[in-house]
Amino acid sequence: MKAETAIAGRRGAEERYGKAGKHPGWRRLILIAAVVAALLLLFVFTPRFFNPLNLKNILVQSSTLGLMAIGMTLVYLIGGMDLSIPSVMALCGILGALVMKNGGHPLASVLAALLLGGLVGAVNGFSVAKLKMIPFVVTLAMMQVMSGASTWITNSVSIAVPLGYINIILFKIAGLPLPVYIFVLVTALSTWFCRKTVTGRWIYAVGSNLGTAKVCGIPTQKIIMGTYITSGLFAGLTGVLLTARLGAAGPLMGSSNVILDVMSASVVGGVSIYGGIGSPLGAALGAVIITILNNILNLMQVDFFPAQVIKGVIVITFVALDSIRRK
Amino acid sequence: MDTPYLRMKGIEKSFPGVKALSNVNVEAYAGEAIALLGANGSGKSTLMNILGGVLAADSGKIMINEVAATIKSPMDAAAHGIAFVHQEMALLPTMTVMDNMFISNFPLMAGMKIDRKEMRAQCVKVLERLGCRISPENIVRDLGTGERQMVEIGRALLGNNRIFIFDEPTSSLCKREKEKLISVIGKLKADGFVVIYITHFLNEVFEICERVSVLRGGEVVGNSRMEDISMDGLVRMMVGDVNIEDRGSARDGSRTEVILDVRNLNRKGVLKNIAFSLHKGEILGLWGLLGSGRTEIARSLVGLDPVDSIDMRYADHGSMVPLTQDKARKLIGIITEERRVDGLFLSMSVKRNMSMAFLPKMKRKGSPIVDAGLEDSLCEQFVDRLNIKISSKEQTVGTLSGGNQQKVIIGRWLEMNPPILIMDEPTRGLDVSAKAEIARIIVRLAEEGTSIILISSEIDEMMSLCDRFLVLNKGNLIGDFAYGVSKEKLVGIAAGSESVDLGGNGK
Repeated sequence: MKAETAIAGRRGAEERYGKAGKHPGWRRLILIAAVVAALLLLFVFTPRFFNPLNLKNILVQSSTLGLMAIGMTLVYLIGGMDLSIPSVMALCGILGALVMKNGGHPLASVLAALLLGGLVGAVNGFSVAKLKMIPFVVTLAMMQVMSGASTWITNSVSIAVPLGYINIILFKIAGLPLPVYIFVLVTALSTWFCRKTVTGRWIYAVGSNLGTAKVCGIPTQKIIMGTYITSGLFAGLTGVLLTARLGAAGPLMGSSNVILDVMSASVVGGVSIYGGIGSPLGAALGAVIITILNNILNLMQVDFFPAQVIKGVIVITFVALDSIRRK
Repeated sequence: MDTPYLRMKGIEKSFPGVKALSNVNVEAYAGEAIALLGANGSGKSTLMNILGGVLAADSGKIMINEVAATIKSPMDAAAHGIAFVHQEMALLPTMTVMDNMFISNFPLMAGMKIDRKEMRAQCVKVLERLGCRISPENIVRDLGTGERQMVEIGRALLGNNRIFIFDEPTSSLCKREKEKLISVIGKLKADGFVVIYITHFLNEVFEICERVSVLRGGEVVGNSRMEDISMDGLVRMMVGDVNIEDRGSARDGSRTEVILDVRNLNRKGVLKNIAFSLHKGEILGLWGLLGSGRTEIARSLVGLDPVDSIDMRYADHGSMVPLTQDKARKLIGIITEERRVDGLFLSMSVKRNMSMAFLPKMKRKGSPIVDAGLEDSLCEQFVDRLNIKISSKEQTVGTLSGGNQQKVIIGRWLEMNPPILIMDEPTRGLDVSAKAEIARIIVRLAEEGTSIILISSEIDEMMSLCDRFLVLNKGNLIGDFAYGVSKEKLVGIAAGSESVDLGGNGK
């Protein structure tokens, strides 16, 4: 091997810059240490956490947060962001509920929700990819449009969905409801997609360096559009699942603190908000961690506002770690 | 006027692996303009950065008015009355003319409030002195290029400056603006200031300057008064007679098998009606000054820059078929000018960087999955062939040396094996041995039948590699020469010193 002779020369660089192309080990260590510490604290303060019912609950709650976080992650990977996810999710849930309220078939309701999600994602994607608008502004405005529409349409009153529908969506297999399986499936598929397929590689390339990606002949606009559409679709799917779990759809489902949970899940899961680094699997694990955190704060009866402070600090910490990593 | 106002004596500066300046002596006199000439990389910028306090010299002295000056920072330089008029105009586009002029030194009332009346009065005075008819309240964004330059000069005039450095001031000016600038420089000289004038345009030097210093390879190769030297003499000084390794007999300026034919390439204000052909196995050099449009032509061919019009035809099995920019991307590889900007994915591995342009062809039929085995083996093959020094295929490309990074980019295109390869400054910033290695790769590729469009600011490199030269000047294609044309002729024409025989094959 020719590389053999080269090793000596490059070893210095390796030592200086760390292991090539992988997550720095210390980052993963911090994550594991945090989880272990959290579990220990739990044992001491809130033994109720380990109640099987509570654990199951965490899985169910993780699944909706996780789906949104995976959508967000795809957009983060290309170097964008999608603040509209929770509000799109709420409006999609509301649309689905309205379809059934007006006598529509449950299947039609699901399709309508997904269609709306994809459509809104396409508008976001078009604005960013073709019109070169700033993702932050576009998706923030879209969040406003969506949540305004939700409140307007519903008059702030939740719309109940039929029990039959709930039973289908929350159909239990081996004690766990369908959303958990959907979450696991989407996590596995999107992780595989990002790692193994050409399009997946292109997603990383666009986020890593848009200029180089263009030079390499990558259809960058299509890739950017695609991630926003997928993010919208996942938001729609989440709307369907959450509506079933809550038994009704209303504008509060997509309240603005949900977006912080979605962002937290992604960055805690090792996704860089600067693009090109991270994976859907990481975001899914991040979603579980954030859900556990919410659960603990809940069990420990921490008030809503201090809890907000804690979660905000966590996001800032992880974004800071991300910035340091990029240097 | 016997003693020089500014004297730089025995200036030495080294960068890791390169001697940038060795024993440089330059003298400038009050009331005179001195031209500082030299090809790219000759050390002009380094020298001026030392005078401006941006870089520190390793040794040597700077004497101003017979007193040794210590210049360790741009602030020191300003304190010694040295002012830079920048090439890239460093103005704040959304602010007014007077805000721009005073931005680093606002006149204050009671040490607190900006004294706008005083500011306006001073500004009007300076603008009058420059004979400039803009108002202090104009927003800089709304001004033309020449007027912006006046604002820059105005800023320099505000302080107690006595030495004015102009770095390529005319490169983006129209004729009328240029005349204006020349008259302003005349006024500066009349006021007894020192003007240091850096340019690539030789004819301006005779119009503006009293003296000239020519740098080549970090050394001063000539100090002269303008009346003692001719244009040819200047070109000869700049070019020198260094002969680096030549391709020799393999070169051929009379190839006939056209592979790419470009007509009617236009882009408003940048490229004017460019037309040329590229032959099979040819190394075609695009030669011209910075901003002549050489990079823009390269990027236009593959659709990286917008164009107003372009007609391309490509030889496909013996017949010329139309080629769109989109399709051109699949046939033409491009090594861009700035490898860190749009050449590499710095945080990705060598392997990933190399496979990125060829990924769609790296999957098995009907499957969306990248064939990891094929990716590995192609990477290994070209790492080996190009002799890229890496510890493993997974090494992050950002940790490699410049030469190895450049080879990774070349490897990326070789995996795709395009019939045409554009190389824009492929050896910029590389050390001598890496340069030679890249040059060998270029020659080998051409011998294997790849047609190459080469852009380089280094005339010797161009002379030693190219079969044919296209010379550009301000977006116009002004010459087409076969191998054998003299270095002096190429340099002279690009700098606008000679009249040009359009389209001629002047050997």
